[in-house]
Amino acid sequence: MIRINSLKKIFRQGAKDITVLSGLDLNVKRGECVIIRGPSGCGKTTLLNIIGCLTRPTDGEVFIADKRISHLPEHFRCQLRRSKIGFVFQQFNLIAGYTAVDNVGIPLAPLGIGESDRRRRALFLLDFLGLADRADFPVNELSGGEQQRVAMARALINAPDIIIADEPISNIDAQTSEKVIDILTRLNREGKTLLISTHDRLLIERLPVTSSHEFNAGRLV
Amino acid sequence: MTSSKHHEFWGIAGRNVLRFPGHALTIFIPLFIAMGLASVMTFIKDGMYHDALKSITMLPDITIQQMDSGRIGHINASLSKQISSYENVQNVSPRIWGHVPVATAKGIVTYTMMGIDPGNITFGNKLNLKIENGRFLNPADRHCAVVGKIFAQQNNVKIGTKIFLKDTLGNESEFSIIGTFACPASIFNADLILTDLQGAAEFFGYNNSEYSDLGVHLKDPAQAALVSGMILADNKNIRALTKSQLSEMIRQAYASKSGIFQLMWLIILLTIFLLCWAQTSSIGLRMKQEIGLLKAVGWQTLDIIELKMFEVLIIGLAGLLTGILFGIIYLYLGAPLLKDYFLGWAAMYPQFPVPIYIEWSSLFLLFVVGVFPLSVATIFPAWLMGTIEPDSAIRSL
Repeated sequence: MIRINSLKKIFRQGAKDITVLSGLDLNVKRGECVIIRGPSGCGKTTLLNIIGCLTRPTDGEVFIADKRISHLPEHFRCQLRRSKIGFVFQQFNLIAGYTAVDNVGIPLAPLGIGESDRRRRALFLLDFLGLADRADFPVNELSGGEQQRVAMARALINAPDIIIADEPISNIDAQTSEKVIDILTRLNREGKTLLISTHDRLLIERLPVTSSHEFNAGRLV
Repeated sequence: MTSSKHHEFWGIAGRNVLRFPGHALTIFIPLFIAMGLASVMTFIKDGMYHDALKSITMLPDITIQQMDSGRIGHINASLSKQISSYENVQNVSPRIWGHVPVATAKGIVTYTMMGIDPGNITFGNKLNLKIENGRFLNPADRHCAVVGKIFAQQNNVKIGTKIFLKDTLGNESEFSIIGTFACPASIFNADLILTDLQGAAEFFGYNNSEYSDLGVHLKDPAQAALVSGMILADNKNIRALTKSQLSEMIRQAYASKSGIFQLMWLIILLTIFLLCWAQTSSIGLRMKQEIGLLKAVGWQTLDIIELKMFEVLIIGLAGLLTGILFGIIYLYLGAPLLKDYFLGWAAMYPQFPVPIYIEWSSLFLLFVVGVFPLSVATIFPAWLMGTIEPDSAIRSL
């Protein structure tokens, strides 16, 4: 499902080049649950962002469903983000002032899906994630855990094959963490490919992990 | 169910505008004021321009004036015979006219008195006015006057009333009102006193062989330029003004050379420019975040630009349309408080309704000035930010 060859990412900071990923390789099969571990700042988020088509690698290749996505024009990468990938951000990244249901449904608008249909689909997911009663609340009035579940619902709205979650329980309490882990487990059982970055042992222990990789000097071991 | 994505974007754009009412109002309120003022100015300017054009329909095909040292002087009656002999000239009607400044309780108002030869003018054809009460002048009338309907209302004048005109320059005379008229140019309805040639000559102190100007009526008005050229070639120190030349003079006075309007337009453009600057600088971080998020969830850059354009169009059109609506209502209420400033010379002319004319071209100009710069100020940064990768946009927070 996901194949990465010799991936490199170098950030330029002033006159200095910072190498975050240096010749990284990774293979993820359909339906697997893969964990990326490592301390903060080691490059987990950068790797997920490259796989999620949110940024481009400096060098190397990324394949999703045998399509080389690393060098695709932005238009096609956008289509991939829309159809194949659901991304759950560490900081939730919801649109302030929108209600939960509006945030969840926003990826459907460019497809020309009408408001009532967007609402119906979003409500289904919010109900699935236990947030039906908070659907019409502005997201800035929701707790961290609720915002995380709204972000998950948004990631699922296009029924993606791959779900990428960046530190999905790092900003929520223990009780909500359990709920999020349950949801991720259910999604994996339904056949979704999960790619999750974390340094939380609870997540690694509770998820049906297929493989777990540790970051070491810009590579996975 | 799928519908047009553009339709969906309108709905989302509307909600986005309401999401930040403070931001929307900071654009809407100055735009509303600027567009309100601009529309009032433009509609009055267009109104006065069209009123002036209507007044030209009352003029002869060619107006001949004597020039003394570059200023308008009295024209000799003998020229009338000479011009009558030209081919294509139907008749030549002499006029004696001038301004009559009259002191009133509200200050000095200036009327226009015009003495005409009723026997030498094709009334109804050449003078574009309609008698509402009484009758028009006859060749036998002496010291009789026909006045505009607004003049009659404002001075409480009826048929048979004798008015004693005394101006601040020392001219005085009595006139009998024999009729009131209505004409398309509202200024004439308010300020024009039509009288017989002799009455006007006595009032202004002309001798029998002099007139203010000569009105030349042609059999074929399309030949005005040709006849005017012939008259000028045969005579020194006169000027011959055709209707088209007068129209051009009016167009220049109310269009490109209308200084006060240009100045106000400059102020309005400056306001719009400042608005755009405020809009561009205030949307930076918030827009960058949203664009990054929308791109991350599958929106194309063009989708985002379209959404942002709709947002600014909603605010811009709301400001523009309410501004124009305010302008129209304000003008139909008689432009209270600001009427004299807009008319400028109202201290000299008698009071008359503000002429209003709404042209599609002016509405288009207001739209372009009000909405286009604002759209560019929004869309350009949106496009720039849309080229940034979603990761960079989100991380910049």
